[in-house]
Amino acid sequence: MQFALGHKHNWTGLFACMFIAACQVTPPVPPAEELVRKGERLFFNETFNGNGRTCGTCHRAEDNFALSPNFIATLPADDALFVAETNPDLAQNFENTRLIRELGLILENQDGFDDLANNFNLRGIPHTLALRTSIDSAAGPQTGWSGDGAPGDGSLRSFAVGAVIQHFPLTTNRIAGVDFRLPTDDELDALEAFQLSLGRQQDLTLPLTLRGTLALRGQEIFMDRALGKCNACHFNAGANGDPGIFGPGAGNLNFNTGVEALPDQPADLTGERVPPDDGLGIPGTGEFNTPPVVEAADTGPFFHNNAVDTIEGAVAFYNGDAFNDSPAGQLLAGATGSGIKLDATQVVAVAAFLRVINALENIRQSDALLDRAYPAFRITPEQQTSLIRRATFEIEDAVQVLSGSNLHPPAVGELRIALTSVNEALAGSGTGRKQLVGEARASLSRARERMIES
Amino acid sequence: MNSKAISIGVVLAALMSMPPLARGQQATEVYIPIGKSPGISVSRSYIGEIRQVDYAARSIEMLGKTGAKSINVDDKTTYYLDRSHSRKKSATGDMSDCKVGRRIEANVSDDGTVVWIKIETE
Repeated sequence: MQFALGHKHNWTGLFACMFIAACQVTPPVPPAEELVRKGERLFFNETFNGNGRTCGTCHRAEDNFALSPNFIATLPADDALFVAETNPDLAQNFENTRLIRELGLILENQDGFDDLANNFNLRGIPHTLALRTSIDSAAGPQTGWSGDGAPGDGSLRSFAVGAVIQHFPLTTNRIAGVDFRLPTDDELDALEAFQLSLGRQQDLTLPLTLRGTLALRGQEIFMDRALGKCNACHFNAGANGDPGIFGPGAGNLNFNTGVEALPDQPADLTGERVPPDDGLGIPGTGEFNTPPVVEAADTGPFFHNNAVDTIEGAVAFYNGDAFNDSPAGQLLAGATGSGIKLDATQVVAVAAFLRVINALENIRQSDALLDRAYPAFRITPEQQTSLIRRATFEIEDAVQVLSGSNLHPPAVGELRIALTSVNEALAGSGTGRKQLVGEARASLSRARERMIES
Repeated sequence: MNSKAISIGVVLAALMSMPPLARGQQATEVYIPIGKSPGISVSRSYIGEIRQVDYAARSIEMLGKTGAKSINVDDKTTYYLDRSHSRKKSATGDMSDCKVGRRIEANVSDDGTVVWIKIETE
């Protein structure tokens, strides 16, 4: 097409052509992505007219959408997490801020609100990664530490309603429309979409062709039905039962694994009032929900009560009396002829396997986030920066998880290079930023190649 | 699958055959006003005014937008007193709170069991 400058109708054609070209360069944001973005805004910014907390107050993007004592130690005194210290109406029976600070434990009234002084549980904050793979079961959706974390129909979509009532109110009267407002249906849709977008969208398929000998041995023990027996309940290192044992579609399961029977639990040692936690239901069955273990190594402390700090300790738990004398442990022993008994080297090997698959997931996630930072559709600079920043958190975690047990030093080196590139990208903009992101992704790819065969 | 694995399957499958447990955190349900329970109020509950109560037979007749409905409660039915419209704290109650003329929401499961009833009170 040719345009003769100065002719009005041809200018119109030129502008029309430019408009079409512009539209082709930046197509509209797909509705699904728009819903996720809306959910993200709500997750981190919406207080629902409550005490100032948001979903992101406890599920921090910087801390794997969970909250660990180490991260809590970096928060200012006026952070909404400590609202019980700043809002007099929440000073009693709302939180134990000493246990928040020391152990990352949050107060919940799982068994009712009639006796706030005595009827409560103290639980860690589970991450919200890989929810797409970890909450479906034959009995219905399972959310939270005991699988019954949501009111209404118990779904992830409904979870936010219970969370607002439990954690967001201005007073412990918890009057809807006074102490908080309930999320709207549209907000629940968006929050669900955002949470489902986080982390893995599908389970691994074990065994993986890992390069490290220790992690490889750990994988063998993990999958061995006579030794580690881990894969029975954490099938493919996820949150679902082995369909070869529990039947197809069993999905996510609850078990009483005896964590409550552990001696010398950190919360008990503080001398603070810590009532026993009876798990699922009212009254409880003593059962708790099976979490995925791909994401375990960088999301400690472990178990519903943050009883164990290290991934090695979490693996070793299954050697002890608390587990082997528990209903789940007894069932397993009856079926297999023995409980779980791993030596120290085997514990470390299983933990090494968990560290490596966690780091591989960190790499996958950070690469996906960097990819999303340059979509085919419109993205604001703020959204792009947010995605790149979240990628840095993942890379940092991979470095910590691997170097914490001296695993794959060359891969750690590549990850550190990737981290440098991404941090420089965050400081820059435009094509320079894009080039640095590309370099980071190349380093991530090389790190992955050091850890697993293609 | 070897015999050991089958043995694991037989024993652990017992876990799957246990009676269904209450799903959802019922504890926070007490603070959710009538008509606002997510995933329940729109499609799985009945909202209306109590027309008749037979405490001995444990039956309640209610009239809602879709017409009359008779429900039968049991020992497991939970009662919530919804006072949010008068800006007062909600609480748990019992069947005696079901009085003629009061507005209620009944969450009825697929098998006809009434899981909970929310009763609008002052």
